[in-house]
Amino acid sequence: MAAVELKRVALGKVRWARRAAVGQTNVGLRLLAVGLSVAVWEAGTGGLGWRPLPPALLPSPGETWQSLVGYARSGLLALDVSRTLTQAFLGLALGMATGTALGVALAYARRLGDALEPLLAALNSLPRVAVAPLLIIWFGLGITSKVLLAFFTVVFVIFMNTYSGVRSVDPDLVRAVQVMGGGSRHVARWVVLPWVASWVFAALRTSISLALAATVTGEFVGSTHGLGYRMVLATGVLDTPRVFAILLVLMTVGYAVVEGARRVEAYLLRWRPELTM
Amino acid sequence: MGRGGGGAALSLRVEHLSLRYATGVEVLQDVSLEVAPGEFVSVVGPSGCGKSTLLNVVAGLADRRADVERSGRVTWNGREIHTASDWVGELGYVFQRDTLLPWFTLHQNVELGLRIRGVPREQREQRVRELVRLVGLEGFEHVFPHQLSGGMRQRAQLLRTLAYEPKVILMDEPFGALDAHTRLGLQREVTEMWAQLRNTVLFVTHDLTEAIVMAQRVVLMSHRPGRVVQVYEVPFGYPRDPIELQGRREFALLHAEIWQGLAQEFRAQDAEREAERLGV
Repeated sequence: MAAVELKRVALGKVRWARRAAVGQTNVGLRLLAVGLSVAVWEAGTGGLGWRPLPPALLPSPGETWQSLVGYARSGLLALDVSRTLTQAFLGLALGMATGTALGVALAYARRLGDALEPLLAALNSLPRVAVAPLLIIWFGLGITSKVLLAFFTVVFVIFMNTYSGVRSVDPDLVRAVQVMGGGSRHVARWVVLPWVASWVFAALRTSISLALAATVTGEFVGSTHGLGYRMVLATGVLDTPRVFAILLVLMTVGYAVVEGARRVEAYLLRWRPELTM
Repeated sequence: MGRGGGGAALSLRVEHLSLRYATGVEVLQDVSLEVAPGEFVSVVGPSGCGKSTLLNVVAGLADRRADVERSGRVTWNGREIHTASDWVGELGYVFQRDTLLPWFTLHQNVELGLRIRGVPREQREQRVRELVRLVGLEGFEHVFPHQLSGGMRQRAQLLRTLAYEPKVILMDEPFGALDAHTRLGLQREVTEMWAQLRNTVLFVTHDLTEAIVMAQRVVLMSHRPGRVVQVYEVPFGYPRDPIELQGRREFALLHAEIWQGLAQEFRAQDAEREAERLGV
């Protein structure tokens, strides 16, 4: 009996190994990892009748879940999530538009580009959340200050990538299209655009996380809605289960958005050897 | 086969072309060359002798920077070529480096020239299908270049050029990056296709055997600065089999004859490099 059991386990292992070898994702294994993490959390917060830390310091999964359900029932969860996401996406969209336009313009206006490059690189290395208080002073507690903070956080990353992308277009590919009789319109559409797009996409995935982080930080500093604002309120009254619930929401939302972007990117850039996943 | 002076206005002509950089480096020195319509000419010479520069000038792709001094001219059909657009789409160029657009499938790459010419979709599809069958790439039409082998990519590049039926095709060591076996196969395929299409071809290579088995004439260029040392007639007709050809006595004799000239250029180049190294 035990031998049979052992054999079955061994076979299972081989099957897993084979799946891993061909690069297939094992959903079961992933769920198991999540389940184990929750189990460890539960075990450390009274699940085994032993609770070294009070709920105000480390709430249990059940308490966090209850708080989350309460948050959702009040209707505030949907409101906060949509507010935070709206701000992050407006900032991201604005940053994309400005960053790519600026990148293309400065890459073609070589002299201006050369002149502004160090200044923009310096701005890019500034810890951007540091301007959050300033933006609150200038634009108030409403949506504008958060959108601008997200915008300010991503615009340089996107600009830098676009700029390097345009400047690094492979001249041989341009020549190949010219030799076939293609004009500047063909070169722009078939060579420059796809080339630069691949650079912009590379920036997009990091920019999504950056925009979300910037928005939440902006809400910490000063706001009237949003996940960051709700978190500051909960912290103030030591409602740690609520803080944990919000962290879970942030994690889930962030993961979903970045994963979505990764899939879109993998599809659009499927011609690239390193991205065929 | 018409060649030489006949129909001068219709030929591709390079007249007294010299090119030097302001730094004093001379790349080409008084190169004159005529390729008759429908003629296959190969250019052979030691590496760095300016063969590729010559092709770029002919294509109108050579950089026109202020520090490049240039004299002489290139004409096609009596029309002087300054930039690539002067060819008005009658030129094809097969690069040594794979220049397929990586974000387009093989099919999309092959039809680019036809799209530029405004050929309607159905005709493009049909033309691509024919060409793909010609070189045995069926089943790979909707595959991206990175999924193709080196030989397949080079075939695709060739198809992209043949698709829009250019009058003149320039090839810059098109098989340079391929293994010997793939190379032989492609040499045969290209000579077979050319025997039917009869485009005007200028083929640059540093491989003497390749130069002879493919062309009607072989132009031997000197080491830098590139000059035309001598032009040799290749006495074989078409269709020809490059593999079979290499076993022939006439081939061996011609190869030996040109090799003497080429070897002399190799030696002269080595001697010059050595002198430079020693600071003489």
